Amino acid sequence: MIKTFEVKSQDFQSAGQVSSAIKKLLKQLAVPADIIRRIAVASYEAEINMIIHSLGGTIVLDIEDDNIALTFQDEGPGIKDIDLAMQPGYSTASAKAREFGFGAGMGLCNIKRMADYFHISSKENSPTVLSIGFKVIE
Amino acid sequence: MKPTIIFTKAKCEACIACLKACPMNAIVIDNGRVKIEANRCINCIHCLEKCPDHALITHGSSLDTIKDYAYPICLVPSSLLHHYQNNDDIKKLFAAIKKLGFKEVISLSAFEAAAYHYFQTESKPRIASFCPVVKRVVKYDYPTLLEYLSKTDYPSEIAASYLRHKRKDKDLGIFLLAECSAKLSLAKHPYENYQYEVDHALAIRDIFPAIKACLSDESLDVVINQDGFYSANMASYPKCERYLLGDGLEKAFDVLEKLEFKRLEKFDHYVLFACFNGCPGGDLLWGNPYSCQNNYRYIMTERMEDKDIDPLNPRVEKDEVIKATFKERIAFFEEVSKVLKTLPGYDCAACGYPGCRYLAEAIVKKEASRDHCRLLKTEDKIDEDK
Repeated sequence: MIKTFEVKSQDFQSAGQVSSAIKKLLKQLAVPADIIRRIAVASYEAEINMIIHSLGGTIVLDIEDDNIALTFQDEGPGIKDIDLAMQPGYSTASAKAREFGFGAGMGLCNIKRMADYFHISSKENSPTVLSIGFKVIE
Repeated sequence: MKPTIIFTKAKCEACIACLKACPMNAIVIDNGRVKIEANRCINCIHCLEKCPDHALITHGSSLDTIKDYAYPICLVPSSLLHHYQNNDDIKKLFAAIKKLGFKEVISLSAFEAAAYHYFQTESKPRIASFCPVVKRVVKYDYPTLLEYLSKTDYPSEIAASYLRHKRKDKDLGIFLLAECSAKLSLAKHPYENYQYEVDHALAIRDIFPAIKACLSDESLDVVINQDGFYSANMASYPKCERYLLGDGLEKAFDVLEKLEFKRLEKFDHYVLFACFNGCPGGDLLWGNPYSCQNNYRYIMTERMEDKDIDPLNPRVEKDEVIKATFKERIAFFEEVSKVLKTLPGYDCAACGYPGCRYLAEAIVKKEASRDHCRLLKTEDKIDEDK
């Protein structure tokens, strides 16, 4: 089962709405609670990242029998140095984002900590694709 | 668990106000009958408040049941005491309650304090609540937060277990004065919740005339435990910068939603009440929750130790067993989504289900048919007429 969601750049008002929808769907499917929580935290962080840093993009949720995968694909502008971006506390968030309480620089490393599978590909001036996966064990 | 809200068909005009008011989408109107789903209802009584015909009611046990026990004891919650402005009135109130036929009248404040003290020692983050509505919201809608719920029991249960232990030799009948409809469910009767130690829940609203008739100059000595007393009221709840206090169901949903995303890391403890201003805002209390907000300043209380009170809940609540496998649940969901696409999607609820998805689920389960949808029916009719 595949679901696609849109995320707009700089749309702080609707921050978290996609993650809430994903969370609600997983609850309807009665996914085990600890998996829902890890997915919720990871997708929230990634959604916020897209709003703060990207030019907008899509979130694709793919639910299979034993695996839940999330793909976050944006339209740029890309990450200059991924290793640096992965470091806890490193942030390039705008003043506006910080005003809303975002941009602590924990996003990517938190996402990696939550997910069973984590892959990010990006370079400057090109789209970023973040894929994370969660095993479903009942 | 059985909802404390009871449907009386005679008065119902089938207007769907209750269905629209339900924050949990637990109501279905089937063939003119309001059905409240027991495994979704949180007893918040939003439906009852919105019903223009008073077709939904709640009730406690009747006073006659006191006679069934050799040694009836009455438990009085602190929220009731917040409606008084001096200790003399409270002492007279306790004497009047005793005249109803009780052998003892006990303030719950000491047991509320025991729960409050234990809650402070628990690991963080921790959701504390004497509020059965909030507890049920967590259970049904925020299962990922269940492990954060305080391990303490309801004060009425802590008290009942304690009293059964201390008064072993007596044939106890434990009665709880309930300040809200949700707490009516925390007793064996009248809603058949046999897992609780309390025997009967009495609705304060219904028995207050009888208490008032018993009021006289007689008074009964009452010791009020400060921490327990203060923890019943939002206004007097001990303030701490790492405490998040919230009243009202909407706020509770908002806090739990944010907590699930780990967006509230500045706080350790979440104290949530479904009623305005906490328990003094309960729907079975007669006073108004605004005026009682500051009464706690006039009441003399005592600081006490609660060494031999055990606030923990030894009961293991059985979780619902999900029979279908994850694969089957996905298949069901996809089938429902397929049906949902063929429905109008206005979520008008005229069919008697809370929204199109709920009707779609019922269609897949073969509990309803597409004919339930009034909009589709009208469209079909127009097509036929053409």
